[in-house]
Amino acid sequence: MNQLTVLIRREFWENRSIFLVLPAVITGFFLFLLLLGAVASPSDAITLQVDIQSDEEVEFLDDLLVSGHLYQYALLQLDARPMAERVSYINATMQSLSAPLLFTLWFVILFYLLGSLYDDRRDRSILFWKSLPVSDAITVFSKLLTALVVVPLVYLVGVMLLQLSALIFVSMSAFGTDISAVDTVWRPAGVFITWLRSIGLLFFYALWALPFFGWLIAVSACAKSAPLAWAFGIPLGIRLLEAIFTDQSRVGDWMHDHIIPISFLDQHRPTAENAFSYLLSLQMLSALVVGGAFIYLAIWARGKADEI
Amino acid sequence: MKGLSDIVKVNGISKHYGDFTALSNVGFTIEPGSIVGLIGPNGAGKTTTLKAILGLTDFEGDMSVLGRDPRRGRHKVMQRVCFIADVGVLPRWLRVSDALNYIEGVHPNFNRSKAEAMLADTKIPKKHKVKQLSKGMVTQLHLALVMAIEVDLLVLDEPTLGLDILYRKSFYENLLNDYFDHETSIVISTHQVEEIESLLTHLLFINQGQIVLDCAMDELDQVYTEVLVGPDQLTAANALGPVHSRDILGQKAMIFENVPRGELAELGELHTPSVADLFVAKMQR
Repeated sequence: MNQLTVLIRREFWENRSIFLVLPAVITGFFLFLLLLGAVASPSDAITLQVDIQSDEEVEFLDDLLVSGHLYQYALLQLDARPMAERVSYINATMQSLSAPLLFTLWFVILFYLLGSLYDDRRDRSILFWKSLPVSDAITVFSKLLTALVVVPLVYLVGVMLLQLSALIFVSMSAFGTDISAVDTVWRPAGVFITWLRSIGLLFFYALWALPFFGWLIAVSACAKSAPLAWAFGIPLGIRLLEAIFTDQSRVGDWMHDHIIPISFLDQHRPTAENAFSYLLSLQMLSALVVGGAFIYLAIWARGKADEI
Repeated sequence: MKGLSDIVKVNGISKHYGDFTALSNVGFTIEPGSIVGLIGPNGAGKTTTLKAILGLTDFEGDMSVLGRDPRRGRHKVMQRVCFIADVGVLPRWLRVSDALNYIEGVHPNFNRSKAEAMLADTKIPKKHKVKQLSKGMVTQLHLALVMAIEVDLLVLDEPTLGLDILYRKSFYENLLNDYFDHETSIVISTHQVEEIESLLTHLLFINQGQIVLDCAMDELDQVYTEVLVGPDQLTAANALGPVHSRDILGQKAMIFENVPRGELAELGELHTPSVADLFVAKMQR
């Protein structure tokens, strides 16, 4: 579908700074920190090593001060541990490396969707866009596809680059030693599986949180002012009413579940085994129905939309 | 789509914004190959009428544009209709070259080399974004984009508003030179009558949401007559019910509607009124 390709490119022309420049800058910054790790002495590195956060790695940091450079030390530590521990250390590090980009991505999607059908009504350019033979449905669809598939993939490229660099830096310290980088780093890391899992998780989250994203684009299509205030004001209002008039918080919990990524990752994380049944679960289907309804509302409102 | 009896058929459409009536039972048709001037003062309902034709706003009543209801199939209608809104509605962040890329990608009837040729005649740099262009250049750009699309109907809503006289002149020259060999119909809205008078084949006057005049230019002289009436003929002239009269050098210039010229000949010198005078006459009633 040629039209769809052009529509997605159009989104990138408009939002280049948050779709391409921002992830490039963040990736560049953390790449720089990783490089510092390779040249800095361990005592410097301790303040720079932002990606080691979890409790179990505190002992890492204590020992760090007496060793060579950071990656050499990491290699020695990994080599000294059984496979299962290597996997969990490397996984934790890989996850930490992805955190800044994915955290940013969530906000980028949020603000992009909120502006996607609002800004052009504001600056009157909707009169130009709607004067071309592009249907309202494909317009809305192109924006959702951009937000939930294409831009996440761009950010994931940054994540992959950071993870790959960290692994390469650690393996490079294996040169000249009798430690096998393949066994201590690459096999436990399982990069391709990790990346596939990341793509899968993003895909599932996009569907799981479709009520939220659909809601954002619907607000963007309908609001005559302050879309951000509407987007969060109404759900908060509903939550408040629920708290006042009932002693339950089912609606509030449902909204919380389907908005906050942490709650998705902690409580509703799919696995390779249950992926299919997960897709067909009542929770997921209800999310798709509600999300679909909001998207339909957005398309309908876009059809009626005029400059504001 | 050529060969349709009417490009646009508007059957009594109305539009309300709350208590305000923007359009009240507006009806007219646009024939193939005609250049229609939709003329009215600010706030008369020109833009609302044009937006209704383009499927950009909702309304009550019936309308067909190229055989379709624009409210339902806007994107289908837009394959055969182009639109330039008053002052530049091109998004400020859009690069000139990307504007070409975009329209080429979404419009089946866009002739890119034609647009490039027209841009080459201007001083518009293709690498610039719209926000870096002057107001006149933005209009030139929009015109170049739109003229390179082969359509049945071109809708221009105050296309030269806010431009200086040089751009305004060349805008209409380009428009004429390019579209006279086409069979495209054009609707132009404006409140500056004189500028487009010579282009038009049809006149539509709109005031307070109502069509107050709907006439082909070449039938104007059969319907409207301006007579320079001397003081001695005043009573006789007033008896025939002029729609407007104004003082000129001690005489009265009176405009009559649907009064046979034979009856008017004795009153004084007969003219066909200028569109501007007709406009004033119709708006002041």
